[in-house]
Amino acid sequence: MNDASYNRLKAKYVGLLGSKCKKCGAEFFPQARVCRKCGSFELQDIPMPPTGKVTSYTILNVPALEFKDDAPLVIGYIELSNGVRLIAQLADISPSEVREGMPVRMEVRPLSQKSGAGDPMVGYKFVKSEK
Amino acid sequence: MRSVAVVGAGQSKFGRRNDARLDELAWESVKQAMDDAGIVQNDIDSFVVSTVGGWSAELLPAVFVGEYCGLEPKPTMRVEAACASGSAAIYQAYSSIASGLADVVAVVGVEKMTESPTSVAVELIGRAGNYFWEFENFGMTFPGYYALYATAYLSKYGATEKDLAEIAIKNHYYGSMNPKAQFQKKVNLDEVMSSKYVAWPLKLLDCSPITDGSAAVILASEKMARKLTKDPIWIRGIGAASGTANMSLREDFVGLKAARLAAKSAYQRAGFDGDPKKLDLAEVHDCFTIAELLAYEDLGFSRKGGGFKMAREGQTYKGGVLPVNLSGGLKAKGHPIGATGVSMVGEVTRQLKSQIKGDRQADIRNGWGLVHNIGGTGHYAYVTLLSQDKGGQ
Ligand SMILES: [Zn+2]
Repeated sequence: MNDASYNRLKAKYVGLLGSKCKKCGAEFFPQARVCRKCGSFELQDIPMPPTGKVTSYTILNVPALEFKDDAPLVIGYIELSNGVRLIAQLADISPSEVREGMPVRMEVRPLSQKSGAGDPMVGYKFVKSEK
Repeated sequence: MRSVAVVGAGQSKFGRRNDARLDELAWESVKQAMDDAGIVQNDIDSFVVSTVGGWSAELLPAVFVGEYCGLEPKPTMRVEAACASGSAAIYQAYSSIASGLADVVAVVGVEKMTESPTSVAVELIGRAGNYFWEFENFGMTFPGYYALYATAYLSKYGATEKDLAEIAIKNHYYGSMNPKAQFQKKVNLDEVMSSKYVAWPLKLLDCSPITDGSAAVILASEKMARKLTKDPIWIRGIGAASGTANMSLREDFVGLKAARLAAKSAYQRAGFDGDPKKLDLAEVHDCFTIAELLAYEDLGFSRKGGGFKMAREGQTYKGGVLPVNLSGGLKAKGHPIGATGVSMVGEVTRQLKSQIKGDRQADIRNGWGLVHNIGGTGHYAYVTLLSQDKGGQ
């Protein structure tokens, strides 16, 4: 990822910045300009809650090229506590312990091993949480 | 709208085709399809080329293929809808005939994938989604997306990895009889279950391969179809829909909404009630075994959560409720992504005309067949109903 792309995305990657519809209150991640629920164009930036649960998952033995040194990757389909869902890497969770329903919370981590050089590219990953 | 028929079909051998360039591959199918229709280039009003590219050096595949196949200066374009590009091209050709803009249109699907290193091909296919949000910094792959569906489906309905394996076994069984298939080889349960996990719970033998190949069909208006052939196969309905780029915005991971919408619209146009017993065969998009299960449900062949039982009971073999993927499917026939949808329509056309040699020919009783073609992970969906019967007036 080049610096310009990263700089555009950083606030969303680090702060889970999404959108909330001013009319109907529906929340979205990533940011939206049109409300998928009521069609309104009136949306405001809002950070997503940092906790949620795993609703589906996979263990990638063959991840995308840039992540091959990180294999196997544990990928979760996460439902945040506000009902918004996203796909993210699960960190510090072994493939054998990941389960549907597992509570998780967001942590800011290096995005890949490669992103340690120069200005580090960091973003959201999810780790186990108590509740 | 005017009626539209398939009047010719051709397909190259699918597989690792180091012997042929993109344009040479395309010509194999175009030649067969023109011969089948009994026409030459001059009889064709326009042609649509479906290819996804990326791994191909050719940025303008439509004119590259057009020149080699002698189709220049006919109007053309390249059409892309990921793995549903072939159906998108047919949709385009169908529209131009139905509208009266053209009478005879060639649809050429072609893809050359195997000369890219596997890791590069996997990388490119992995971008089929929302690049920045679900690929670039997440390491996701295309099998990974479908694996999320598989995990959710198995867990919600109590299906097992063995049920998924049954799909692979069936499709390899039929592929073993298809001389144009990439894998003309049966597989057994042990082989599928012991193949390596790519993206748990999907194993290598749950995945369709990387393939070179081409397919072509000739579509014609009623007037031209009547002139060219005694047995045109009519396109009775095409339905199409799209899904969100971000997988995370999907309502659930146990079906593809775009496929359900595409089916609904195709069924409405064709006046088809969705009863699988009224079809003689279906070609569905089994890029992964889980995708075929989802297709059974999205197309209404079974109730929600019942698709895996059809697989478990062998209901989609010949002699069951509805034979599915008698070609071997993407799984065994191969999946040259731009060619797949075109190949599916060609297969159903030849099946409905009872032109298939050997045991994989369906018993044609009702004269109806269905094609279900998905791009990405339900990002694009096309459903096409074909019939021996023109219907209407
Ligand atoms: Zn709203």
